[in-house]
Order: sequence, then structure tokens, then C-alpha cells
Amino acid sequence: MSLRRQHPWMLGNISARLLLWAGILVLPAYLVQSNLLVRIVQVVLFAYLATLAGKRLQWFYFTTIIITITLFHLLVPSGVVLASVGGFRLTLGALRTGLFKALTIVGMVFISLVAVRADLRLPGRFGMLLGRMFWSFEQIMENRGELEARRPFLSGDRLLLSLYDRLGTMEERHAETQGRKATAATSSLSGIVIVLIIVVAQWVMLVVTLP
Amino acid sequence: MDTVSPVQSSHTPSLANILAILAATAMFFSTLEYLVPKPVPFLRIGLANIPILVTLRFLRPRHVVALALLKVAGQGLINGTLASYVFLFSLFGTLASIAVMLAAMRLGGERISLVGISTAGALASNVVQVTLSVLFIFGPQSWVIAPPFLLVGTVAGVLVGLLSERFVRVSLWLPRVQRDYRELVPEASR
Repeated sequence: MSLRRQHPWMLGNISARLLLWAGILVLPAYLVQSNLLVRIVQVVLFAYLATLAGKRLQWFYFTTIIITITLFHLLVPSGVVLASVGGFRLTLGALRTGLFKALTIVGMVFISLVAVRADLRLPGRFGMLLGRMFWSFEQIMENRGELEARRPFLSGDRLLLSLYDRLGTMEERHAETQGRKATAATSSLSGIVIVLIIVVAQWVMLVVTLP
Repeated sequence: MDTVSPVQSSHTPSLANILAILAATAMFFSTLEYLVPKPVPFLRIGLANIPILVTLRFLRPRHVVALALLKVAGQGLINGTLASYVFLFSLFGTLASIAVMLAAMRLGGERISLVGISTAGALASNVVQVTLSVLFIFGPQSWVIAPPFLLVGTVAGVLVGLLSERFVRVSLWLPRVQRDYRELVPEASR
């Protein structure tokens, strides 16, 4: 799970709830932003923060998304013609629109990767179910060594059966994963300040670049 | 209904725990799928749907939906995509797939195999996801990618269906889940 790869300072000083709130506060400033240069800076910043948050970024995936979205937008020419190959015209307007949209979408995923941490507790019955699911998932992951590549179905079935038997005995116990226990339930002052700086910076960039 | 000894009854997991372990299994399959190299990033086999498919015949529709929501939310939390378009695509794709699979099962009964149900579900999920990506991400020019995407999705649906059929045949765990579930939710036996 990504919690194990997360920067230890972040885990100890910033709670999952604060991260989620930061993400919610950043999103409007991010979405209203229309400056391409600022968008590039934001995407790079959130990609860096996502790696600090322990997320393994699939660079090939994100690069392919950016290239494909931009290419599809280039099919509808608009603005100054930059180059012409056969019947195809590469235009500045289409390039900017495509690139901006692609970066916006990829950046939103990065924001989500930073803001949503696996130890986030959702309220209510659904939150309780999620807690139990994570406990079960952790048990499967810890015992995955029992899986045999030559007999995946039988060994997998045996693993599920043993976990199922253990679940029957933990009826009233609150399911809590080891990963969750080790993370900050509340944020430290330094954690709050750093998160606040990042959130405020997005709003300042928005105000500064407003036409 | 099968008779259950008092000892077994006292160790019957609750409905919440049954749904939790099924959703955790879906997430485990999702992790396995993540490890499989893909030639194109958008391609997905859909292994995480196996726990839904193998329980579709005995879970009540509301519990199938709960299981699907748990799976999608769990993936969103683990992968961190809960607040992004990836989550919405996954949510709508899964809900469409569940609706079509439940309808196929109701209409086909025992005559339709898990391969058929899975293929119908995969097709529904892919149609929804292609439509959403054309409308909100790539633009109308990208309809050209729909046929190959749907074709690959259909092949993946067949594969997931075959794997599910095999698991149902060899599993000792699944009949236990089914028996306990019917004990907890008596109307499921009808």
C-alpha cells in the first residue's frame, strides 16, 4: 500500500482529513486557472507532491494521455497556422487548447493522488465497511506468499478460506489495519502551515493571472 | 437450506464482513492486474470484477451494488484517484456493468453462463467509459478509437468470465460464503 512509501514526515504531521480538505480547497482555484504557464507549474508541483505522498506515478500512462488528448484536439484547427503537412494544419490555438485540457486532467489526478490517502476514514456505515475491507485486504496482501503460481485458483481459494474463518471470530472487533494505526490522526502546526502555503499559493496564482 | 451446526453458526461472519472480504478480494485482483504489463495504458482486463461475477447468482441486487461501490471506493482510496475523473469513469462504468449483468442474469437465468454475463457487463462498462471520455476528455474526433476499444473490452470480458467459471468450479470457499449469506439473508434462498 502507498502508506508504506509515503514520506515519513508527511505521515506523522499531516492527517488524511487535512489532506482531503486541502485537495477540496485547491480544486476550484486549479480549475478556474486559465494560464497555460501556471498550469504547467501546477502539474509539476502536484506530480512532485504525489511522489512525496508515496504514489508511484505511471509516467508512460500520463505522457500517453497528454499526447493523445492534444493530438485529438489538433484535428480541429484554430488560430495561427504553425506548420502544414499535406492537408493537415498544425495550429497554435488547437495546440494550446489540447495541451491545456490534457494538463488539466492529468493535474487533477495528481491532486487526487496527494489529497486522498489510504488511511482516510469515511463516516457512517459505508466508512465502517471500508475499514473492514482494508483490514481484509491487508490480510490478503500479508499472506500472498501462500499463493502458488502453478495452482493460483486452489491456493487462492485456500487463502480466502483461512481469512474467512478468522473474520468469523472478529465480529465485534473494530477492524483497523497496521498501516492506519501508524499515521497521524491530527496534524501538527508545521503540517498545517505547509498545507496552507500550498493551498494559498494556488489562489494567489489565480488572482495574479486574472485578466 | 443447508443445516449448520451451532459451532459453525457462531463463526459465521456478519454480512458486513462477507461484503468486506469480497471487496478486498476484488482489490487484490485489481493489484494483480496492475502488475500485468499493458501495451496501451487505457487497456484493462477487469480482473477485479471476478468476485462480483462469482457471487452474482446468490447475492441480492442491493448487496451486489454495495459490493461494487466498495470495490470502486476502495480502489479510489488505495490508488488515490477518489477525487479525479478516473474515479467517476470507474464508478459509472461499474454501475452500468452491474445493471446489465443483473438484467442479463434475470433474463437468461441458468441458460446464460458467466462468460455471457461478463461479456455483456464488460461491453456496457466500455460503452459508458468511451462515451464519457469522448464527451469530456478527447472530444468528438475521438469516436474513431471506440471500435478497437470495445473489441478489446469484449475479449477481456470473455477472459474474466472464463476465469470466474473456473473459480466457481474449484472453490471450496465460495459455497461457504453462499451458505452463510443465505443464513444471514433468508430471502436470498428463495
